[in-house]
Order: sequence, then structure tokens, then C-alpha cells
Amino acid sequence: MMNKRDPRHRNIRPWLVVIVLMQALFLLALAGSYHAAHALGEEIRLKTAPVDPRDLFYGDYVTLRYEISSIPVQRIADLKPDSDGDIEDLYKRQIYVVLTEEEGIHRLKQAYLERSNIPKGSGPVLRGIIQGGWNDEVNVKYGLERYYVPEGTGTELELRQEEIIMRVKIAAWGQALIVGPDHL
Amino acid sequence: MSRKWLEKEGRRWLELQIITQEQLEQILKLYPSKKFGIGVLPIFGGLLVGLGVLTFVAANWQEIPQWFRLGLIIAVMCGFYWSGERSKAAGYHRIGEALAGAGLLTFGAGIFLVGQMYHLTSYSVISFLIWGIVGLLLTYLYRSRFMFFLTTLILVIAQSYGYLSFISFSYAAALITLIGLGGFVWLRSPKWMEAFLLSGALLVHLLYFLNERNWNEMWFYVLLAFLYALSDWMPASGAKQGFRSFAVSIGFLYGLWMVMVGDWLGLSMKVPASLYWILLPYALFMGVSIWKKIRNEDLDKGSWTIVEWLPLLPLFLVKTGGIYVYLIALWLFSLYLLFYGYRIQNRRYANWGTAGFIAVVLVAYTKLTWAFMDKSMFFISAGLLLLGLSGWLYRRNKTILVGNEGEGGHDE
Repeated sequence: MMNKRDPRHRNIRPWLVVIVLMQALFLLALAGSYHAAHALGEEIRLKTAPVDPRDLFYGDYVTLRYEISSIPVQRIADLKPDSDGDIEDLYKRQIYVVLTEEEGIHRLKQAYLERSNIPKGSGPVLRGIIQGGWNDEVNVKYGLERYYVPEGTGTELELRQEEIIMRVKIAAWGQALIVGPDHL
Repeated sequence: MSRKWLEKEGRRWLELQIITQEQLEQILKLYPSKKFGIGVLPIFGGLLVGLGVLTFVAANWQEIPQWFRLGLIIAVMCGFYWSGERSKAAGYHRIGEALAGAGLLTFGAGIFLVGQMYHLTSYSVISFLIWGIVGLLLTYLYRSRFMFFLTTLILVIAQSYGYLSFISFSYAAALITLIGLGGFVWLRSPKWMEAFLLSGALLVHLLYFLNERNWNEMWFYVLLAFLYALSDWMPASGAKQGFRSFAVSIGFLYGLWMVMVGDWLGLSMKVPASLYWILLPYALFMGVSIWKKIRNEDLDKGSWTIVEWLPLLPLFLVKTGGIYVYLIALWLFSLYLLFYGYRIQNRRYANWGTAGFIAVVLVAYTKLTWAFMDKSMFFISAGLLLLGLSGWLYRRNKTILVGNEGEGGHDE
């Protein structure tokens, strides 16, 4: 039965070990990069719109919408003045949002379509993707729109407030991630 | 063919004195009964324990420390690959491949669970692509249909996810499918199923591409022409049949669809001038295919298959005739399958031809009775034709196809 020519009996173990190791290392590196962003990143505080209370009953995360989730087109510094204002041209573009701190909350200072156009020392920068828009405002997604709510830690109660401040870390290499709601 | 069947029939052959007892034993020796039973129990046991651990982990996920969650994911993943290898070593190849597939799925789940630990929502398809690339490597390593299937699916999901969440086409996902999985089909020339799946995946990627570019989706006819021409130039294999079956059956089904809804969707709509550009690559593939068929030394077999281009024709470009053009093309094609099937004594051709013929008649019926009740003659004649045909087929079946069951491997 053990026919040597049968391709199913090839010795694939050395390669399999390499591929499985690669997968394990990738997962470790991924977690490591997030962990490093968490540990080394600069902390900012972003204001969010109220959480839909139904979100707390369905599923294990809440959907967040931030103050900076919509950005007026006029605030995009490097948008060419000759563009005819067609907001759809901006869809799917990356956008870099420079923040400035006012009374402990980080707010929009200026937005840029190219990272290279940002003046040095401008302050913390969040990278997002423009997804749709309305009138003169574009919607921006940062990848920070989901917060997985830990059960039984009181976080649920915190999320029921009118206004939530979310603590976010931005790493030097641009990775941003949520730390959690701020304890008021 | 199952051993049980062989044992049962063998006894009958023995009674009818076709073979002797020794011969029966010799024959049975050629088909050893597969070991099954006790060896599988540990695997089921392992699966149960794994499922239990998974549900426990899922229920308590948030309370488990992060480093432990990560370790758990990696351990479960490695455990699946390892037990897959163990099963293969014990001779259970299918189970081994299934377990390795579970390892691949765990890897993908791991990418997203790690993201979830840090409340990250990925807005790029890169994670999916890495998952797909690992799947591709495993497909080549195991030479397994199951891995091929998983990888095709992961890349299609990657494309769909990328398209639906930020309306951008992932060239990487499409190219990995085309070159990576296409290369597997080309090099390993597996069964028709792989070629069929690959064609389906390519069609999905193409449709997303056309949508993103705002190109007319009718460009997919070029893909059908390409796949069909490709099959003409391939050496006889399962993959050749897979490409051919896919092109022809999608062309046929799309034709039926056009007959059903074409007058509101495509045919009444003015064909944009730019759409005539599809004729350029289309004609190239068609020419290459027909040239090959005519050049084919087996003229009798080769040239007839030119009729298989009928369901592949972009007939929406024909301005007059509307749905009738499609109807006639599909009807002729079904008849071709039927008669050609009998000619080369291939039952599958003939069966698909019958199915196609009936489908065309039914679609024509449902479509046309609403508008033109006075076309009843058409249906009476079609009905009579069908009755006559079935009677004739029945007689032919008795005389010709006896003993030729399942010869050749062509489905439609």
C-alpha cells in the first residue's frame, strides 16, 4: 500500500514545518507590533458621538463614530483649489489628519492627502481612508471604529454616557489603536 | 466502485460460472478493504476535545490574558497541522488534509483575533492576502484539492471584502489566483473540479474589476472565450474538461438568463459603442480556438466541436432578433450535444444535451406565452419534437449506449 511513487507519500514535513513556523511568527509579529504601538505610542483622547445603546446588547463590540470622522473639505490643506469640488474624486483616498489638543481633547487641526505635505512638528497624525461624504464633508474611517467591550468590567456602563472620550495610541510608524474609554 | 459491491457481484459471477473461486479471490485482493473504524476514533475524540476547548475559549475570550490567547491560537493551529501529519502517516490522507485545512483556517482566525485583541478593524486586504498566500503554499505542498478549494475561497473573500468595504479592486488577490492557483492547475493538471473552481473564481475577480472600472460586465464573454480557447490548446486532461465545461455552461446559463430578462436588461438597452471593443480580444481567442480545431488531425472529432462556440457568442451585440437569437443559438447547441453525444457514444453529452434542450424549451415557453399566446404552434411543435425525440432516444439508448456507460469525461 505504501507506494513510494504516490505523491501523497512525499516527505513534505520539512517544508510544512517551515510554513507553520512562518505562520506562528507572523501572528507573533503582528501581536508584537500592536503591543509595541500600545506601549510606545503617543496617547491622544478623541471625542466620540454617543454609542447606540442597542449595540451594547447585540454582539460583543460597539461601533464608534468620532468627532473627526467627518472632515470639512475646506480643512484639507493640500486639496488643489482648481478641483471642481466633486467630493467623489476623494473616495478611497488616504487622508492624514493632524490633531491639536484643546482642553485635553484632540481635535482636527488640518488634514492632508499626502503625508509629505505635513509640516514638521505639526502634532499627532492619524491616517484614515475617505469613505463617502456629504455636502462639503468627507467621512473618514481610521480602523478605530470598533471597540470590543470587555464583559463585567464596568466598561459597559461607561459607554452609556452622553459623550465618551476614547483613549487612542499612535505609534511612530503610524499604527493607531484604541486603549479604551477614558475614566472621567 | 466499492468493495462491498464487488463482493456481492463477485458471488453472482461465481454462480454464473463467469469466474472461478480463485479468480474472485485474486480480484478482491486487488481492492483491499480500507481500514476504518477504530483508527478514526482518536481523531473524532481529538476533534471533540478541540471543539470543547474552542467553545470554552470563545465564551471566556475577554477574560483570558492577551499573551495566553495568542499562545492558545498558535498552539491550536500547530496542533491541527501536527495531527494532520499524524493522520497522513497513519494512512488517512483525507482526514490529514482536512486537519491541515483546519490549521489554515485557524491561522486566518488568528489574524483577526489578534486584531480584535487590540480593537482593530482592518481596512486593508493585506491580512486576507497573507492568509491566501499561506493557503497557496499549502496547496502546492499537499497537492490537495481541499487546500486548493480553501485558498480559492479565501482569495475570493479577500476580493469581495476589499471591494465591498472600500470599493477598490485588489490586483494582488486576482493575480495570486491567476498565477498561483492557475499555475497549480497548469502544472499538476488535476481533475476538472479544480479548473472549474478556478474559472469561477477568475470570473468573480473579473466582475469586481469591471465594476470598479465602470466597464460593462459583458466583458466577461472575453473570459469565457479565453477559457474555451485555452482548453482547446491543453493536452487532454481533467483540467481541460473543467475549463471547457465552465465556459460552455456559464455561456449557456447566461444565455438563458438573457432570454428571461434580456429585453428589460441588456437587449433593449442600446449597446454602447465602446462595447464593440470586446470583439477584438474575443475574435482573437475564437480564431485561435477554431484554427486549432480545424488543424486538429482528428477532423471528425475536432471540427464538430466548433458548435460549442454557440453559447459563448456575445449575441447581445446582434441588434435584430432580440431574444430569439439567443434562443436559437442555445437550442442548436443543445441539439448538437444530443446528437454529437450519440455519435461519439458519450452518455454525458447526450444527457446534458437533453437537459439543455428541455431548459431552452421551458424558458422559451415561460417567456413567450406572456407576450404571444398565438405562438402556440411553436410549443405544440416543440412538444411533439420532444415527444418524438424522447421516443427516439429511448430506442437509441437501448441499441447504442449499452455497455458504453460513462465513457469520456465531458460534462456539457
